[in-house]
Order: sequence, then structure tokens, then C-alpha cells
Amino acid sequence: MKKYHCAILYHNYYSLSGLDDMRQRIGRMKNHDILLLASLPDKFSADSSLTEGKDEKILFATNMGKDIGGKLLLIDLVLKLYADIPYLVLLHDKRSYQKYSGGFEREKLFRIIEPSNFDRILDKFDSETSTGIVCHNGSIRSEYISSTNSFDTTNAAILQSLQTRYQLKPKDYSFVAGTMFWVRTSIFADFFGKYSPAAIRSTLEKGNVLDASGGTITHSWERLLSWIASARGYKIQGI
Amino acid sequence: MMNRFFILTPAHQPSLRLHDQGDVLNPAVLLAIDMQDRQQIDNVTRMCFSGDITARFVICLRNLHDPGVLNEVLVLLSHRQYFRVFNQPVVFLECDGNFDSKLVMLKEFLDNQGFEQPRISGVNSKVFNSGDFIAAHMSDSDQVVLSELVEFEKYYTAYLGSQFNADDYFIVQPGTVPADQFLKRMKSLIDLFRTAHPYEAGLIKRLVQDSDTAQVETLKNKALESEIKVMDELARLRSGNKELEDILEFYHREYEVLPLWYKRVGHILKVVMGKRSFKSLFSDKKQR
Repeated sequence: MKKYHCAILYHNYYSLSGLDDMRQRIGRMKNHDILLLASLPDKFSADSSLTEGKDEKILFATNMGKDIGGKLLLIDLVLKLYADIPYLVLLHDKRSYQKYSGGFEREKLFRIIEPSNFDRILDKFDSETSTGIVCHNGSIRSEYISSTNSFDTTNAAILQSLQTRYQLKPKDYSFVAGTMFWVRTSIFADFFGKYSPAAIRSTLEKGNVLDASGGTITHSWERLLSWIASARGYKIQGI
Repeated sequence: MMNRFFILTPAHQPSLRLHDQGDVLNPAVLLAIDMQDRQQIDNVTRMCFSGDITARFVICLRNLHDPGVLNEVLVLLSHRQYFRVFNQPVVFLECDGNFDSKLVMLKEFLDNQGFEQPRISGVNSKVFNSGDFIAAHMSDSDQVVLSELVEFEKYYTAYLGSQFNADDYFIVQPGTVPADQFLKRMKSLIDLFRTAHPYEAGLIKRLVQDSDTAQVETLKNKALESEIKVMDELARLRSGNKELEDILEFYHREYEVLPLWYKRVGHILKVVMGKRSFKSLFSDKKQR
């Protein structure tokens, strides 16, 4: 089987043009072998214009847990078939139509797959074995309040319950907001080897859930995906 | 396409290629998976994603006892080539005495994974327990199992002429008859029917084509409807959020509150750097 430098796990919800855009971005990274694993909503399953390239695998995902549901499905596929690819890059076609700055935010988060950053990120992983996750500098956040040992988010209660359930107790509660980052495959393989990604996916909310007025399991997993690395002693590094 | 033929393939069989038979038959591969054999599930997953399967496929779950093991087939159900009707996967389940409990298990799993109306069909275990030719006609109300090719040919000819239903499925285990040869014989039966009853055959063809087109259009409409709902919700949130005000406040806090002398020095600096004319300092017209 071909040796890939990394696999891009891309959840594409809105339109097929998002998939073409991702293909173009991958095409710009000429010196690297990249496998594109994409999850698309099943509304595209009847679209005859959809094609699959030789370094691509496309899955149709039900509308569960937004991009987190799609990414968990793709992580499941990685574990079953591509666990030897050293790095995974989690991305989605973030639009954030509820914000004026949605498009700007996406471009900022997508910088982790710009050709100029590709080697920098690989160097970061190579030079520091404690680096578990690499993301855009501006997307690292923490909602932890040490004085109350709680979180400043609507998801606080769910986070605490999931932390106990999945034994995720990191020293640093920073996480990558937007869930677009590079991660060592071995970290996810270790965690999801114990906790089935498909089983976790089944606990997420259906449809387009938002956490503005109340917490959701889906948005809690946005945080937990980063804590999987930090709970194992790995660091989140920004570029 | 007349009816849907699922060609049963044991999970250990290495070759899973089926030739597309044009508009007459569009067979799909049916992979029977022993759910108690994890190695078999892994092998089938690897085969399906390696590109060994060229046709559409479905899975039939055998020996399903543990609901947890269903998580292992989620990627197969999400495969691009998986056979769907109205975007929903078709799943076969081996029947024996406790079919209902297995059905509940499977339905719960599919519902928890967001499949809204999956099509689940029970298959008589007789189909799997024979090495010989066997064919099962799966309709809404009944399941007929025949174990001879000639007998099945007679049955299908009579079926075409008297009780055709485009939604019926036929599961066929070719046994010693190669799959290609079986499909060729089915095709010739259909051609015979078309020659003998051209008007009826034309009606059936139109019914199937129109029903396919209607399905695609219904799906597109459904997708658009849900998209509009999502966009409405996001627009509602956008209208209520203070992001724009926050940006303006940030700008005001960082720049507009600077002392007047600071700004005036800035104007003079612009003149010195040649970005602004000296005369403009004394003009009331706003700089652009």
C-alpha cells in the first residue's frame, strides 16, 4: 500500500464545491503524499457528478453531530484501514453563517494546510516528541476556571460527565476551537482503540445543533478531541 | 432495470466483480457477514475499501447477537458504493427463531446513527445454508425461496407477466452457476418478455425510470428544505449576535480614543512621508 505522509479527514457539509476546493488545496502540496478521507452528507449520495480520486475515499454520513460526527466516522475508517499513516489533519468546510467573520475564520484555520506551513508542522512533530497536536495559533482556547474547577461554557456540565466517563483528565484544558488541527495518529489510535468512535458518534445530537443557549455533547467533543492528546501528556502547539 | 438482483457472495470469496448489465439488470453484491467473526468483518471492510468491489453492494448480517459489534459495520454502511434507496441503506438480516429481537437491535443501532428510514429485510437462513443454487423473492408481504435455476426461471417469467413490482428484491446464490451466466439468463428472459409484451414492458421501463427520477428529485428537494431550515436558524442567530458591534467597539477603544495631538502628529507624519499634501492640512474636505 502507498505510504502517505498524512491523511486529511475532511467533513464537507455544504456543497460539493467544498470538496473541489479541498482537492485544489491538496494539489498545491506537491512534494507530499496525502490521502483525502472525506465525509459528505448522504444528500449527495444521489449526485452523479460526485467522483472519487485515486488518493481519496468518500463516505456518506448521516447528519449526526455536525462535523464532529463526520470526523468520528472518518477516524473509525482510519483505525480500520490507515492506522499506519503517521499524522491526521482534521478539517471541515466551516462557514459559520451565524457570524460576519465566518469566511475569515475558515481561512485562518485552513492555514495549517498551506504548503509553506506543511514542512514547519512536520518539523514540529519531529523535533518535539511531546507535540501531540498542531493548529493555528489563534484557535487555542481554554475555558477552565481553576478557582471553581469548572468551565466557562454552556457545555460545562456535559464536559465534566464525559471527562469522567472517558477518563480524560488533562493538566492543561486548552483545546482547539473549530476542531481543525494536526494530530499524531497513534494518540487517536490509542484512545479510540478503547472507545469505539462509532459508539461515541451514536451519542451525538442529530441535525444542526448549536450550543449558544445550552450545552451539547457534540460541542463537548470539540473540546474532548484535544484533551485526548493532552490527557496523555502531549502538548498543543500553535503555528 | 426490471427488478433488483442481489448476488449473494460469501464474505471469504476474493473476487467481487460484477459486470454492469445495462438498463436490464443492475445487480448488486450481497455480502453475508458472520457478525461473530471479527476477522471476517475486518476482511470485508478491507476488500470494500481496496476497490475490489466494482458493483454496488449491501450487507447481510448473520449470527447477530451482540449489539456492540454493529459499530464495526458503520463504515461499510457509509461506503460510497453501498446500495441505498431514498438515501437510506438497505440491510439484510438473517432470520431464524428470534428475528424480532435482532430486528430491534439493528433498528436501534441505525436510528442512533442517524439513519432515518433504513430498509431492513429478513432473509431466510435457508438461503445461506446451501452450497447449491438458491433464489429468494423478497416482497413486502412474502418471501419465496426456490432451489433450482430452471424452477426459478419459470417462476420469474410468470412473475414478470402477472405480478411485477419494481420494489421487489431477488437474492440469488448462484452456487455452481457463475454469476455472469445467471445474469445473462435473466437478461434473456427479460428480452423474451419484452418481445412478447412490448407495451407492458414499455410501461414497466417507464415506471422504473420515472420512479428513479422521482426519487432523485425528492431527495434534492428534501436536502434543499433542510438546508433552508439550517440557513434560517443561522440567519436568526446572526441577526441577534453582537459581533459587528463588538468589532466597532474594539476599533473605537483602540483607535478613536487616542488623544487629538497623537492624531495630529500622525497627519504631519503623512505630509512628511509624502502620503498627504501640506495644503490638505488646512482643508475641511475629508481625506479618502
